[in-house]
Amino acid sequence: MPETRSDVLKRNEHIIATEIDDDICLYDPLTERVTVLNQTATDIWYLIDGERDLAEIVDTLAVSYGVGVQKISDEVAKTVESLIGAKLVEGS
Amino acid sequence: MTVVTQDSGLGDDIARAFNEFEMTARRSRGRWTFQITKTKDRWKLYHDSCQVGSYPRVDDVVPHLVAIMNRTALEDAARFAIHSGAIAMGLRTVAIPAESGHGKTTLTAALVKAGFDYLSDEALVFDDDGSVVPYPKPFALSEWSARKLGVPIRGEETLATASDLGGKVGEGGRLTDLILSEYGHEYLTLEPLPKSQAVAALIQYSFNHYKDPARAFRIATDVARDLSVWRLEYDDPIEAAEVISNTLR
Repeated sequence: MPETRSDVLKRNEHIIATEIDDDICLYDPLTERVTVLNQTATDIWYLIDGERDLAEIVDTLAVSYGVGVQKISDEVAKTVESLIGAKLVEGS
Repeated sequence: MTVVTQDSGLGDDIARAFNEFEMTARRSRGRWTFQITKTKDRWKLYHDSCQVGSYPRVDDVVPHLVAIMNRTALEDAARFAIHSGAIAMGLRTVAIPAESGHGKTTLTAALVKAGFDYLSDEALVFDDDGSVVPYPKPFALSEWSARKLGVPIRGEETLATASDLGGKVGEGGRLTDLILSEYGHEYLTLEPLPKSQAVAALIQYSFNHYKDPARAFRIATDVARDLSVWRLEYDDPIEAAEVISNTLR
């Protein structure tokens, strides 16, 4: 989990990503593991660009989905935590 | 690979088991040389001069030889290969990836019996352009499977070829369908899945993706883009083969 909502998030550089239909498949050649992201996780993945922090991602998605920040904040935080736990993303 | 034996009956059994592979009959001391000898009351199997098996009955030799040859070939394969059954009909080439002991061989054999051409019950080998290379090793059927498929039983494990099931070996083409199967469900279902599930499966069931992970992932994603992906839950391989046949024709 990012230490704070203001930690910038970035994708791990060795992860190979490819899009198939509407899904993102992520491959970690170090663990030889494939992760398929659902729609929300895909949207989050696209927003992780090495410049945005968690709070900015939540705000962007809230506007995109037309919902309040409170409504999606927990879900986005959990998804980011999963991505970090799978070593696909890191917070700095 | 070269197999050497003094026993002509055993040699005939081996030749018959591998009849559907293209085999060259030549003596060689190359890397993959197998020798079978009889010493007193034991049959002994050697791989490049190292003993790898000792059996009381000649009927036990050939299934073990097939298993060892198979493992040797696939571990050394340069091409991307996955643990999978594979069959074909018309323009459809279908993969059924699964671990050993999960019904893949019996289901593949049932599909051959239902009219599909046989490509493999063990390995799907891909060329770099994504086309499939047949690997038609003989089926190794348990007593239950042999009985279910109507194949005469020969010991604990019966080797059968596609022609024993009334079928034939097919030609490889681009993969069109991938079936993720689960044996042991009371009700038979066959339902579509997203293509992305194929990518995970192709890597999960790969023998050798670790040799070049990036290339393996590229092949897996290229192949997955053109696939129809299915989940099959079943209990009877004959019924499952009929449903698959009706769906994919």
